[in-house]
Amino acid sequence: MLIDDNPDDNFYHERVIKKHFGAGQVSVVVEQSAIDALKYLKLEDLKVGCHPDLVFLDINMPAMNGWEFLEEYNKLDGQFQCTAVVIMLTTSDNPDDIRKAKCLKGVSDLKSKPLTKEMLEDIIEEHFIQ
Amino acid sequence: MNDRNELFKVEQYMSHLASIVESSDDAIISKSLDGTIESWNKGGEKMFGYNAKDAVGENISLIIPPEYADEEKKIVDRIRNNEIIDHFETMRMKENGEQFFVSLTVSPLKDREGTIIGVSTIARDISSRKKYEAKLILANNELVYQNSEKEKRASELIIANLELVFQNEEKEKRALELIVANKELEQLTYIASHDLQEPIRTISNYILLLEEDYLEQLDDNARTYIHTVSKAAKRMSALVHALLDFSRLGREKKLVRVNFKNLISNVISDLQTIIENSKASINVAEMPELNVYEIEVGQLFQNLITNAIKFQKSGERPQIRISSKKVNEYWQFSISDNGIGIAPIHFRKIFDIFQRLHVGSEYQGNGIGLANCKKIIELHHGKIWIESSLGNGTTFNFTIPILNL
Repeated sequence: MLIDDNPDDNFYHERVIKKHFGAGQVSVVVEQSAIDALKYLKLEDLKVGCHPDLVFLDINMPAMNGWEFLEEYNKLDGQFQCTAVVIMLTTSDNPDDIRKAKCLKGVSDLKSKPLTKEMLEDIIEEHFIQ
Repeated sequence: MNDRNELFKVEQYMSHLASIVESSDDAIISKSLDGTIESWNKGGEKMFGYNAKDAVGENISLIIPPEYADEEKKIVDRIRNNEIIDHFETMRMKENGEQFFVSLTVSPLKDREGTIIGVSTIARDISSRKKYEAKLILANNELVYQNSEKEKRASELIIANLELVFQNEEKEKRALELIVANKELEQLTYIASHDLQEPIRTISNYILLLEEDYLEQLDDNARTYIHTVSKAAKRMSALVHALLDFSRLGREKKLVRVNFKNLISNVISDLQTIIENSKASINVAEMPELNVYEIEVGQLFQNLITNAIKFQKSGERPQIRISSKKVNEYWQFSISDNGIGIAPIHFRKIFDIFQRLHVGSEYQGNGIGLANCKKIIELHHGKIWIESSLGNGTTFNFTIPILNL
């Protein structure tokens, strides 16, 4: 799942992901606002297995930013809705954001944009291959 | 016998009186009521220049300036009324016509019956006293003038002082405004460099897409253009990054006790690759422990050492010496190299942001390293300066005061 208000970034990141897994092997949900993303995650009739495994979350977004999204996300039903690996994506390697992300529940990592092939391989290596 | 004796005594007394009169410095003159001079002593001769034989028988107007004739008449009138005139100050005239100040004591001369038959005058030359008086008056006037000048000055000083107080207040106001403006500017730099990253990243990303998906369909010209755009985007991204780092300097500053020897050897091991590639030798002398902003000072040494290696004559081994010494309340550090040197006209400019002295290909850089150094030193309230000449190596000096934790 991609949560980012910048459609150019979403397009680019979706493409990096699809290229990595192969077009038919992965489904990417793209939300342009954190509020819409929350709505999607709370959908009652979301089929089991359709919850995202990996969320890329932008920080600076209008209305609800990445930090505010995380607060709401952590309140969700633990069994189904908030089991994903959340990776925050930032515009800059701002030391404030890095520190904040480290001590926040629910965040697995914080990376600098853009998402690259190598970054994606690292994330899968670290969080999905046990 | 008694009579003769008496007469003798009187004669003796008279002769004493006469000799007193003769020896006096004052002029002692007697005249008849109509002004004919009847006696004239030695003092009179000295004072007026006339001998007794010339003066006696002449009218007193001989020694009275014509403009004082009326005054003389009035004096004689008062004498006729049996008055004595004491210390009367007026002017008299010498034989040579020169006028001078005298003080007169005038008294009537009487016969045995008590009838006033003449006038005696004792005249004292008071011209030198008058001169002193005039001088005193002048001096007094001068004092009065100087006093009033001083008062004027004092009030001018009070006004000037008020003006100074006002100006000081204005300056403080200005300083405060500057601090605020500076903060705003820093904030602006931070936000601008932060927000510029996003569009630059998008440009870079999409050039990458073009290259991945369409490079084969393009001709050589189009590939060159894309390559150029890609290079420019990379460079712009590096500049914006550097600017962001610059604006972040000192945002999170915290003073800690730092051993400079350790700090420098950490920096040197971080720079191991370029030191080995350039075969540079780095000599580090004795170093103190100081309270500084550790990360920033590490960056400072890294910048200066990197510069010392980078700006080297081709084919020469960089030789770098780092030393320190205590100067009053400061520690002064020096980093010397044997590199290409800098012409003195550039000494100021090199510390300005984005100022570079060399074209891109010759010596790589984004023109922000020394601006960072200057900002770091200013965070510590120190100074940074340069000693160099073209071709003869460069020494960067900087001071760090002894700061309390």
